[in-house]
Amino acid sequence: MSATPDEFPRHPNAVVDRGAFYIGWQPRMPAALARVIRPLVITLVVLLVGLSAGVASTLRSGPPGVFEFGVVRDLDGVFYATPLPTLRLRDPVGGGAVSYYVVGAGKRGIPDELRALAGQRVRFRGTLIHQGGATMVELTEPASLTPSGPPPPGLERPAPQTVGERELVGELVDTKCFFGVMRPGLGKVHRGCAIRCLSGGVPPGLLLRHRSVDGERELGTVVMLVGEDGAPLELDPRWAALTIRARGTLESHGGIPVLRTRALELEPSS
Amino acid sequence: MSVSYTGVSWTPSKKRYDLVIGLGVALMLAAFALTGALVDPLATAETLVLRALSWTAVALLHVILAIGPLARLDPRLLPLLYNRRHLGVSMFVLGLAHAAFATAQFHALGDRNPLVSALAGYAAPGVNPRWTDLPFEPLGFLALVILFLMAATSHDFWLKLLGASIWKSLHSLVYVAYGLVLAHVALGIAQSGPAALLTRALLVGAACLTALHLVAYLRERRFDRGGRPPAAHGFVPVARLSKLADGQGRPIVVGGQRLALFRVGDAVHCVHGVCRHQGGPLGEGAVIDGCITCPWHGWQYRPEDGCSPPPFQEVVHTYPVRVEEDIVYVSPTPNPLATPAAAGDHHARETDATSQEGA
Repeated sequence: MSATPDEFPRHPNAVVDRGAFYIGWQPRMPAALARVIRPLVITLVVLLVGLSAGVASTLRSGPPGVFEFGVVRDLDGVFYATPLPTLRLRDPVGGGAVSYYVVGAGKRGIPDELRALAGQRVRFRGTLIHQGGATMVELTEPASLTPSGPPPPGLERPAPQTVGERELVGELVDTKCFFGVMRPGLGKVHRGCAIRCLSGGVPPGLLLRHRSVDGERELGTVVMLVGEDGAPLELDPRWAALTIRARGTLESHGGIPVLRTRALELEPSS
Repeated sequence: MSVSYTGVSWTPSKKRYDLVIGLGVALMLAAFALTGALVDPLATAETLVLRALSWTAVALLHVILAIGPLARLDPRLLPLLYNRRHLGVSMFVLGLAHAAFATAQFHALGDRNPLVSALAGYAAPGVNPRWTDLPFEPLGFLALVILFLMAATSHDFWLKLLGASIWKSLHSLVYVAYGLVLAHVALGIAQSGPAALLTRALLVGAACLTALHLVAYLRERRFDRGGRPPAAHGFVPVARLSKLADGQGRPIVVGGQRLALFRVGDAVHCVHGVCRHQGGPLGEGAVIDGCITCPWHGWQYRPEDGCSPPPFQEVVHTYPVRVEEDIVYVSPTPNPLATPAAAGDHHARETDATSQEGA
């Protein structure tokens, strides 16, 4: 070999040692290459696994709410269709009676078969959804729905208390997802799902955001929206997750706020 | 080099590669889902699975896109490139699972076809949405369509059927898919609330990929601009014979073309520098079993005529070579395709150029 310097341009990759040349169809990787590849791959896998855990640790799924998915209960109570579909039943943990909002399975409101039984005692199998003081029940098995006679005493609805005329501004949510079926069950990221739910008949709600007393946390209260006459509220489902201004009569149904909505409009900030 | 639509031949290298992919993906999914469940006990399994699938797919996409420029910058990493399509198919399967799960979760069991619901958008009359409010689902869907086309045509059967140019163009759409995926995730973050570490990870990932591609590109461009002008006889001086290692390729630039120079014993051969398979740099290859072997996937060509050994049918151009006073010269005009060409031979360095060309 000549000792003369090679004055021709040489591609940096052209100086690879011939002994380290390796193609995947060859039986064995040269040891020199394996010494590079193995630690690199191990480091990469460890880094990616660690980063996966790190990213997951920073994500939150939304306000607390529980969907007892897979736990189907036998429910027995009096069904009321307006202003919100409600099952009034004996309190399973104490005396007295409690009210559960009722929704259909999937992204649906209640079926016509149940609506036709308004004011009657019914039995069906369903799944509980609860957040804070509100409980909702999904009619998970529509075939289990059976009328069981006139309403027994003690399951009458408490009379609603009128709070007064109010104008409220908040995010339009579908109450089924918000109460716990989806996490997150609110916000723009959930908008497609909320549109389907509202379109399918799930009762709409207005999420009012406010700070906690100590000012450190953002809290949310949902006001259930119904029509002024107590019938289901007619609205454009595509308003889901947008900021809405609602006017009407605010009532308290056993502590749950319900707005008999007279006017509804999109806020410009939507 | 399989050109028939037969199953993948599971070499030991492929088995190890796929084992690492499977293990790595399983560990990433588990680490994400378990950590998510620990820090947010109320998170539903569906949410955790959805997020774990999408995160793992996006992270793998970054790895896939980094392998190319990394292997250009350091050829010792080429073994990672050899089975990269397995990584691509794995990433597509993760993305598909994420899309199927998300569509079922957010759009099924309603009053509209779930796919229509997911893709139709949901602009409300009278609302002028901010760009951050635009639906992110169609972006992810478009990315998935591209990734599907790539995964479905990843077998060499499709490369042969479509031709290298169309196939390469189709697979270059991965960069479009990457942009769509980034936009899909960015909109999701914008709409679901702050996710500082995820945002930083994506920004760093995008910056690293851009820098890697840029550095690799600039290095290649510098080399491509470094070719010599032709000598009086029209041949271009490209190397000193005494500096050519036997059996090892050398990339050269002649007349603006990237060619590959090989010394095999006493003979010197020159072929076109771009592999017919996926455009690999033949000049960075070596001679194995008497054939020029591409460093990317091992496609082979005979140095004498540029033809792949039977039964394979790929051909690259050969170029006339002459050797004078230890200097190797190459003609910028190729020999007719698949024509045996006499190599430059340093024992015959005084012979007439025409007879060396053998044209």
